[in-house]
Amino acid sequence: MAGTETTTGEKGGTVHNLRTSFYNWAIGLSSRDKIKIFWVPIIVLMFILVFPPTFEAWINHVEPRVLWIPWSIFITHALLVVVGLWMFLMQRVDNAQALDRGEI
Amino acid sequence: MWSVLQAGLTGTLADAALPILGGLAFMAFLVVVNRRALGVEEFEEFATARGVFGSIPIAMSYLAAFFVGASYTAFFGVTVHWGYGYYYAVAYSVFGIFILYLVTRRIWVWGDAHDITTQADGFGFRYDSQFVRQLGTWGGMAASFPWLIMELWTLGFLWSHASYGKLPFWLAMAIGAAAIGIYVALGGMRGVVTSHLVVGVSLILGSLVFGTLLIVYGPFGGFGSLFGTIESNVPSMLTYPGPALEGTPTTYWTSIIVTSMMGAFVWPWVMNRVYAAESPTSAKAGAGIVALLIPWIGFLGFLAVGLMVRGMGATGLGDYGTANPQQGWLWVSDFVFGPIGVTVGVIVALALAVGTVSALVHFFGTTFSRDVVRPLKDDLGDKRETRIAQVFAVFVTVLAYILANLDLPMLIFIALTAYQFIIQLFPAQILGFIWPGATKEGVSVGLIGGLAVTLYLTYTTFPGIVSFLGFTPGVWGVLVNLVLFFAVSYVTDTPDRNYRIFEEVEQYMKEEYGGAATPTVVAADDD
Repeated sequence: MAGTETTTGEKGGTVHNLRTSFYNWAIGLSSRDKIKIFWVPIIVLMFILVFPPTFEAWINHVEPRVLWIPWSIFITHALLVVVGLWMFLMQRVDNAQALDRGEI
Repeated sequence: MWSVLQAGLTGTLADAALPILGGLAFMAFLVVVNRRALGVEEFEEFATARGVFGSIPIAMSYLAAFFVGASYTAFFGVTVHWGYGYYYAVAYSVFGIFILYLVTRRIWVWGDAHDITTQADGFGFRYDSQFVRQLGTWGGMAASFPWLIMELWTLGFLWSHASYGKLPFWLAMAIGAAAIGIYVALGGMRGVVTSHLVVGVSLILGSLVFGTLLIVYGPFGGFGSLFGTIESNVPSMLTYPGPALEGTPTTYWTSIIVTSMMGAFVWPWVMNRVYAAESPTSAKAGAGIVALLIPWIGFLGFLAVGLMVRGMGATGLGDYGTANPQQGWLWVSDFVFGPIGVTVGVIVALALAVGTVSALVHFFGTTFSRDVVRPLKDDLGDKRETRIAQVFAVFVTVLAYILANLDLPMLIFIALTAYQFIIQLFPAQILGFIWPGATKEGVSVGLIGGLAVTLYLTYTTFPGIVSFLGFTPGVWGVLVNLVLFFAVSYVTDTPDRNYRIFEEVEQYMKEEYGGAATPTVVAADDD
């Protein structure tokens, strides 16, 4: 619920301030902003992953290939994590805007 | 406990006791947590649990329905043989949940406002067409049934291996099928989602925690040395496209991701989780959580462990897992942690099989009652509709069990090919829920054209799956489907009703939640 405070989100605390800043940033975003910030990056990342020739030439040949995990897997994994993170953030923005409109 | 079994799972009856008891305890636990859900009498309660679940249970339910039991048998075999190539599954899963996210709000609002409880029911409402509804009903059931049989096989396989082969396959399968059929019939959607909460947590702990422990305590002693070993011995496992896809055209990689991402969350038994959410925001938040989890589940729970099995084969530590990759998960669990490892491995895999079978059985019950029987008999009472769903849920379980005991060598190909057909629902389920201009004529012609092309190309390439230019039949089908969908929708008049029902979603949100509030500086919180 709006304005609910928790032990991790007490007024004046860092978490509270971050959440408030995020909320105020999110409700100020226009549809055009949301497209630029979320949709374009997600679609670009999806394109890269679906058409690997766009990146396989370098992921397969970057040295050293094996650190903690191989570069090819690391890069692919990182791109997927970013897609997931971006989508999660997009949901939080949608959530903040729905909250602002009184839909929650 | 380090139990090195070079020849696979060869434990004694005493070894088998722990995994069997663990599996039974897990099933008993599901019944206990579901006890309040048992005894459903009303159809809406049976079909959607009246939409009471928040974002976490919905996220777990998406995971449980989506990750099939075969993830730790057939798909684990894919990681052992494909290496890097397995990442196609991770990519399509993340993209699939993203696609569902786009239409979640409308699915939920129309469902809540118009008593819609199934995917086909939603098609009937959106396109105002019994024809489209019946296409969705029968297409969904036909494409889903092979998966039900496959998942029963997985149940039997897991129980059988949990007992180190001491429990006959048919009996092992019967125990799993009976338990799930009964609790789904009695518990409906509430029972299914409640059990999915347990299943989802099992998957997360099993893949992230147990998967990591297997790598750390396994023969290579950690991730760095594991990947170093793989690079020295089978380096193609670490690079695109992986050894099993070597030589296939790039378009094949594109095809398997595109077809799977279109189909992943369009399966009627996966997308209907949306109806169980307490609000559209909960359903969307659940999707966001799933998108965050999938890459880690894919990496730690599947790819890394699959590579370890392959590495053990390549370095002479044991090649049973490489030779029998479908048993690789249980074998490596046994190799590293002995019967305790098998117990954990079985519970994780069993949980997924239970999650999928329960979602499938529930889908068959609800859709048969709501989309097949009810249109034929308008005055069907609520209680009878529920009873029909319950009886059909049991019937379909028994039917699948009987068929699962037959020799069906092509079933796995049929089940995988079903993906090529289910994606033909993509324009109807996703684009039609975004674009008001989509008409029933456009959807119908597109679906028929897409299915016909897919059927023809599948027939001419089966059991192969690569068609023209490296694309799969379903991709060509969906391309034809899309062209027809847009062309026919453009040339046919868009009914005013289409715009009204889209406007209705906005109105509904305002009315249901009391109109705009104007908080300016306030902490955003969970749903």
